Amino acid sequence: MQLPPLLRPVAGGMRTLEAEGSSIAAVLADIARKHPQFALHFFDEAGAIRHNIVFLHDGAMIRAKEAAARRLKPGDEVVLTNALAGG
Amino acid sequence: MTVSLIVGTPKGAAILGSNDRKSWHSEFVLRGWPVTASVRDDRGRTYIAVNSPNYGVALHASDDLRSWKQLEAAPRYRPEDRGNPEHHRLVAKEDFTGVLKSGGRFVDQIWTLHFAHGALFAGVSEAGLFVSRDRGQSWQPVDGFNEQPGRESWAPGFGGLGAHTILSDANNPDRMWVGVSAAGFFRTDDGGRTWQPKNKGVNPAVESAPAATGQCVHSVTHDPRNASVMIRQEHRGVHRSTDGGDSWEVMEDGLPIAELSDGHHCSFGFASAMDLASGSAFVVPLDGDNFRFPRDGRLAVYRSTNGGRWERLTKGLPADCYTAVLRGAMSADQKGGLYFGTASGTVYGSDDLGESWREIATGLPRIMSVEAYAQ
Repeated sequence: MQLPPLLRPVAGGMRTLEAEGSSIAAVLADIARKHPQFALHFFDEAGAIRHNIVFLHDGAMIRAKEAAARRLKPGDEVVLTNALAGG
Repeated sequence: MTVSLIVGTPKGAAILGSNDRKSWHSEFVLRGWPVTASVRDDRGRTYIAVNSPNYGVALHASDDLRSWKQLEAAPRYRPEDRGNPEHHRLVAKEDFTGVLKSGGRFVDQIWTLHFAHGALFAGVSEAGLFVSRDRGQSWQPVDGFNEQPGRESWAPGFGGLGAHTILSDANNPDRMWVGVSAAGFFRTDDGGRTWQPKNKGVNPAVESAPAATGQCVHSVTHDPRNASVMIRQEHRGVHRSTDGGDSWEVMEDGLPIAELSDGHHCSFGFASAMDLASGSAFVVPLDGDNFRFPRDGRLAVYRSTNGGRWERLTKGLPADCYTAVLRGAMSADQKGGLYFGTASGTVYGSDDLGESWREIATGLPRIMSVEAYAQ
């Protein structure tokens, strides 16, 4: 999974992290298990993926609420980013 | 003597350092993260609070102000805690498609950090108080404050419903104060189990609020060793208490008086600070809530050395200055140094208790917090 620049220092400067899971949500949970400091950035108090996080996968933009249903294959690359405002 | 300033901005923290308060070096850390508060504990570890509308609230810690490590934990409400709808509306708790989030209570900002009696405290919005007794490794809600009777009547200020001021009593660990915009000022005398509003003598800013609350406190300062003497910068003027907040009296002799948007006449401002050795208090008045910049654009700090009249101090400060000093953006280093930052990104410092000032940093983003430490 490719991290946004804001979160890379949390991973010691890493641009991408490898993780396991059959869906985007499962991969996110795997990263949070391996790197617990990410958990509060990924998930809100209710345990939901933060609502302004979006993912890019296989040419599609996946919203947070769609992350559990988005299936992944071994070797897939996912970009984690966020909603942008302004012009 | 080494002086360090932690200057919080929406794009990171400027760490300013000096050995003589004249020549300063600067480093910009936590780039891209809004930095809203900082504090140093009794072991010299410094904590910085960050928040992002996309990635939430977090804390970073450093022992040397150069290497920062994010803590795994941060204050968080429980999933079942219900939120304040008006706060949700004000701080846009909605996704980028405009759908309002559910009615939960979320920590969207740490407004202030405080260290007392071996514990770290965080004041947050949506308004609440959290404590960590293990140096930030875990955080617990102070339920006596967060669930207190009357909370449902609290109305947010324009910046949301935020607990932005925490004060403690160096001689009494059971006594503590918390200020909330725009619910007022509260005190506990039993270690946080119960809290009482302490707003008697202060005009409410929220006319519809219950009699005991609805005050729009902007900041409060005191000496923790003489904790009952307090200076309070309120939306409706500066007040002073000598009984720990049980009663307040207007203290505006010498301050510029402005007409507020509701027609009330009083001083107006946000920041306040105290030099503990001299007992001097400092405020930076703005020309009312309509303009929110110094009167006639003349930036001035006002000082009271005796709990009475305020003196106007301008030497070294600019004219034609149409900016503000926000509530967390002034700090005393408690070795004679006083510092504040402006909403237009300039930091000023004084080494003579405000008699004269010099610009020590500029070109920063909007300054939201300043904490000063001398050793």
